[in-house]
Amino acid sequence: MSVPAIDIDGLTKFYGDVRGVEELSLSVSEGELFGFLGPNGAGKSTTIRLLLGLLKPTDGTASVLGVPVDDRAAFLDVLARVGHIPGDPRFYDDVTGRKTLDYFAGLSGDARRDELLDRFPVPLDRPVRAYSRGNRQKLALVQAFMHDPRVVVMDEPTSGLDPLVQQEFYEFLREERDRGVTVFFSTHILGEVREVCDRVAIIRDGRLVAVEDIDDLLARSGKVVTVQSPDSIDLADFDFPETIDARIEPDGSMRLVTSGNYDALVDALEGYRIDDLEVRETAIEDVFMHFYDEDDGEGGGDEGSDTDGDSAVTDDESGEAEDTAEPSPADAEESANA
Amino acid sequence: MRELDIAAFEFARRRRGLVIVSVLLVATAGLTIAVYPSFGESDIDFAELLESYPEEFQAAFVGSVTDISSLEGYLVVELYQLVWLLIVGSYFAYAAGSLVAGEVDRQSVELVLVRPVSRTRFVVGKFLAMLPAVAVVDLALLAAVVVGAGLIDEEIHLTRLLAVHAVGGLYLVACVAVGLLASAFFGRVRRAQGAAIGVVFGTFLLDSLTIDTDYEFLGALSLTRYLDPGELLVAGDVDWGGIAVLVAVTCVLVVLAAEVFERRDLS
Repeated sequence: MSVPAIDIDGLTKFYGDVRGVEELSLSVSEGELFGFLGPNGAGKSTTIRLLLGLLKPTDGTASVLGVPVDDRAAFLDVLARVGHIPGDPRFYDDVTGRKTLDYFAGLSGDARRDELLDRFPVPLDRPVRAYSRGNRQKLALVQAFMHDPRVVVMDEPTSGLDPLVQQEFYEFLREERDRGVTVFFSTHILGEVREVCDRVAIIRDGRLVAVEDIDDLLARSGKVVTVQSPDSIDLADFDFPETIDARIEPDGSMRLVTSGNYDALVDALEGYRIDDLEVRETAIEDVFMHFYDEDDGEGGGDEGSDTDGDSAVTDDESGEAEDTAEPSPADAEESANA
Repeated sequence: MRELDIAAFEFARRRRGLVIVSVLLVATAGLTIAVYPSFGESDIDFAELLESYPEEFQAAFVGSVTDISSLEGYLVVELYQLVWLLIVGSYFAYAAGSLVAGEVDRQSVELVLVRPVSRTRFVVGKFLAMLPAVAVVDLALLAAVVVGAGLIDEEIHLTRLLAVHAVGGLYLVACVAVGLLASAFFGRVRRAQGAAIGVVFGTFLLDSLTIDTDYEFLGALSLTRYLDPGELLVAGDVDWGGIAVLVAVTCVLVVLAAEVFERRDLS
């Protein structure tokens, strides 16, 4: 088996008594597009900083391209083949975009600079101070990829990008993956993970909740059936072995997540008048409810997780999961690991 | 040589500040020298006046000069002892305080240290950036003094003046090293700059106040103990031991700064 592009083993970081991350283990193969999903404050940025050697772990190890981060001298060679976008990229305010890139080029090369700038243009001759958030993010993107890295580690790389550029960026990431580049990025946006990732690790309160293949995750999670009826619906009628989740929404409609057996479903529906019926693919939001709602969820894997299960990953702006019963708890999570 | 890239980039970002400091310093020198002729013509006995100052005051602002009627003596008292050693020295310690801490504070360090640049090279690069900065300020003052002396038709001992500026430059570099260590240690610019300026200023006072007392040994902590503009410019005596200490202290501080920074968490 080839050496994994990223290998994290028992990685633990405490800031004094405060847990950053604890006992994190995961492995990313070369050429994978890997998502690292969790609410704000879950430990995503800490993990990324540990992975790049900016922080020293309290315990455990992390390796990139087979070289452990704490082997300082050898790791410097690895860094020549690594690209990085920090969570909130800060450049030098009074320096123009062009000079900023010149500087980074001197430190690690810029074979692909022009190609990237064609695709993600920024006002090169203005000082970075005058850049919009989106332009700053694009500049960060160019500097992260311009030396043609083998591994790219990004902390919420799409924040601040407008939707069109975001799509272009997703497309770009897929192309990079197809060229064999390993892409590891953190996000709190579920739709993003579904859109681009091959696999995803889910982190919460500094601990890994699951590492899953996106397709498996979606396949196993079945379909969502929404039934609108003037009658009052009895959930007991829909308690089939295939039922993953059934609930009555505040508006009286029923939301059923099922992994099949539509015959039984149709039979059960016969007893009701039906105003509206919708069967759709599970949105990734529905799937992740398992990890954050119920700790023994379908795909919980073998990674233990906490039991104070009131947290969920932030909803995508698209509002795909408008039918979730809980208000977005992202705010509650915000301060968990400050 | 990535440290040179880092140094060049840092130096370029500091050009404007340097021009301002140089202009201010040249203006100060110009004014000081312009006043000298009228100073010499007055009837006041300056030797007596100096002796009337408290000893501590003399130690701080007059130095070893006993005769300020010559241009050299006058410049040491009016320019080198106070403006150069204390103010310009403090400025460079302060300026160096932001070298590393500035990038950590603003998080731009996360874009630099994820490249094949070791933290030691980063620190050394930042230090190297300040060498041309010191040279610019040093030469600007040198030029101002030479031109100023010419304009008022006064002879000035050029070799001795060069010696003052050479040793003075080493002193300023040592002040930079003090700032660099503070900068590598503290995560916040303000704290680093405060500590740096506090050390340079504080030890200057310590050196001045303890001279000719039982606590004179405490002054050994001050960089100012290792150079004497008066001896250099008026008497032409070069203190090689002092120079060696300045260079050695600088090296030790830079190594310490790199070592401290290597061990730190950056977040």
